[in-house]
Amino acid sequence: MLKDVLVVLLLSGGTFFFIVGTVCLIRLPDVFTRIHATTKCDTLGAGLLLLGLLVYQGLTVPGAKLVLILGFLWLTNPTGSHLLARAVYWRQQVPVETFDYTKEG
Amino acid sequence: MTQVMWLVLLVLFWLVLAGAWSWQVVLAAVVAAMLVVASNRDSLLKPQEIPGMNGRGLRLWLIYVLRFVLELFKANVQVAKIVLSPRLRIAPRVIHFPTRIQSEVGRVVLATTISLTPGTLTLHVTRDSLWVHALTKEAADGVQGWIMEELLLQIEATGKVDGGWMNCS
Repeated sequence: MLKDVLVVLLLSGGTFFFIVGTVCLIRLPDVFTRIHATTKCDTLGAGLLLLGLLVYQGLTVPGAKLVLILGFLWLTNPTGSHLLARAVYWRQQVPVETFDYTKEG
Repeated sequence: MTQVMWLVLLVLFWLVLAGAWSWQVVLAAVVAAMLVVASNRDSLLKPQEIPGMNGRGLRLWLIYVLRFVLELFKANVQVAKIVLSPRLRIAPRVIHFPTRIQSEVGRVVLATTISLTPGTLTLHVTRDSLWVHALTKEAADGVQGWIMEELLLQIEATGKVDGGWMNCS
């Protein structure tokens, strides 16, 4: 019973952050901020969803697979978003206001 | 040594994914792992390239992961608040700041952590500095001299780091 409540809470939390991510994607203005939206809210969204499934599943072999999925998600997600953002930044397709803190001291 | 370590890791990974452990599965795992290790002989990550591979370092790595989950939660709530408020109060900007982390693995971990944390996104990493895109001014200020970078510096300080940019010139 307590386990079910915890699972429902975690799954709702995950879904909430996915919704926030989608709202971000629609509302934010340019490429960079949209990358923020999709990658960020997905990390905690997917994290909470998988944690919920892990609590439901318990410490079994499928549970270990869930942890692996989360690990690879947290590895591939920043790698992909970094590459996208870097490509856009160096091509300067979007004007970006640069604050160079190393020069300002 | 490095190759044996990767072989064992990959076999274990295969066995976890397979779920059923008959001798055929184990054989397939060993063959596949050997193929992967043999074809990537030159680019395998060596254990001595990872900073903090000692008692104190591993404890700090654990603190790092726990602290990261906390930071992730805090930043996610902040970004959710900004985005769900009727007026979008964002001030996107790119910042460029130096880092004292020497090992390659350390800088990769820091860049990945920054990207995973909502509100900040790593654009580019060089030997001694990072370019970061931030969603708000607060996020931009927070990422410089961040607690996670301090933790990584502490981890590096626990032992000699191989493969850092200081000793490869």
